Amino acid sequence: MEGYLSWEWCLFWATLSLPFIVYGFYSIKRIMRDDPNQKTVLALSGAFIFVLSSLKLPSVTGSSSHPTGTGFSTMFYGVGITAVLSVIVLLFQALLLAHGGLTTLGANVFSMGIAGPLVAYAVFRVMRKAKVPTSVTVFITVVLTDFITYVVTSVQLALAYGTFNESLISFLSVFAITQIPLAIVEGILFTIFIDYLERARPDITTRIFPKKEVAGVEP
Amino acid sequence: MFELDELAYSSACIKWSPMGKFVFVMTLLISSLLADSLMVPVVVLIIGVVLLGYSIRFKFPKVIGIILLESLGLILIGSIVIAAVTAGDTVWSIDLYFFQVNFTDHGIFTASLVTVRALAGVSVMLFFATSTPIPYFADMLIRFKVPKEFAELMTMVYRYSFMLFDEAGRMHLAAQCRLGFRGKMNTVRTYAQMMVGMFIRSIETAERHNIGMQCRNYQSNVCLFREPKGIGYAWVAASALSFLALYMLNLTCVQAGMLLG
Repeated sequence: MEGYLSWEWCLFWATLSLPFIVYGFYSIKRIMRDDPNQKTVLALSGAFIFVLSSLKLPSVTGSSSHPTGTGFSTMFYGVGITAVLSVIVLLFQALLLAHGGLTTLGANVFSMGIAGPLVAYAVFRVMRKAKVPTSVTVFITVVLTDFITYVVTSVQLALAYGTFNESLISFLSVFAITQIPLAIVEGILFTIFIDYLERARPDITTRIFPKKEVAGVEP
Repeated sequence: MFELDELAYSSACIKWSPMGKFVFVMTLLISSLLADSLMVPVVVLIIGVVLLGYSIRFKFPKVIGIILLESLGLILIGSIVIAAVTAGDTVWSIDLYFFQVNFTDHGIFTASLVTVRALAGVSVMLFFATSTPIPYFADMLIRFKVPKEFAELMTMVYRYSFMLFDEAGRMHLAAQCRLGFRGKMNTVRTYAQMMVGMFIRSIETAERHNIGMQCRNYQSNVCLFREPKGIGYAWVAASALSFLALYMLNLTCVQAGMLLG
């Protein structure tokens, strides 16, 4: 939220996020140059993430929460493009919902669009290599994306206020009430989502989750 | 979701230069962040509330109230944690059976400063949001020499969001009619089905739109029916003067030891 971080921290997190955003932007530019048809697909993916972030999910604490959609984006597009899409979604949240903010944009992009997706993408690649079942891979990737996002947000606040260890524990405890149930619910949601998508449009999912060929069966 | 955008199109400040508004808003936000005294964020809050009121013609709709209440809730929770974790001399403590929460003098000052800064930020952001539609913001980014592709992607995401929201609304209604939101697990399953439906339709729509746009010789331009104004000298002067005035106010308050955070 606007006003929560001092200007030094705002500048620090924005500077840290910039290389990832620039890399993501060049990835998008390359995709658009190689196949201009992908422009609309990317834009619709961004809109899809934005619409997802407005869906209210039931939370264990009795309140409702919103999915971030970055887990989905990480699996389908990687970290760089997720960072750029996060910038757009966070700008929309600031301008259409007055959530987040402009001075804290760098910090928010770093936690939601870079740190979470970066760790989750690494784990996702390892799980794909280790041939872990699709449902487990999706669940862990999505939960991890949300979980790391909330840990990094706590770290950002703990660095800005009080003694680091004490503050970190306090901020983690406050966020845990809503964020851990949200991460689990979003994990379940995307596991069911990928399962339905595999059945409805296998051509979309085979790029990320290639099907095992069964010997002796005609394709 | 798009209530603020609707307000922006009917705002009293829609004809003001988006670039000018952006520079002015950023000046206020940065001045508020740089200040050590509570006085500066209070002044920024007053400016923000007056500008917001003027922007929405002093008719405060329900959505503004909801946003303010939500923000207040988040700001209060954050401020309580900040007051509890900041080191200093304990002035107040609460015993919560398992642990004790101590509020320090420095913590309370810091939390007050953060609360007023956040409120000032919300009011100023609401002014900008209720007076600047997204396509105007994208046009402003192009004028600021942000790569055209980014502004174009942003505009396309904004336009497609309406389409997807429309689709999501229809699916939500249909699912409700079929008792799709009965029970927590059933709700999650229904949302997953809705998401797949939305995703598949969005891919199909993207394919159709792409053909349509190619037929109309789409050249990646962000076109607007009414071009917004560029930044004038008046905006630059207003921003520079307000920054100087707030900076001086902060210095005066610090020297006088007034309302220090």
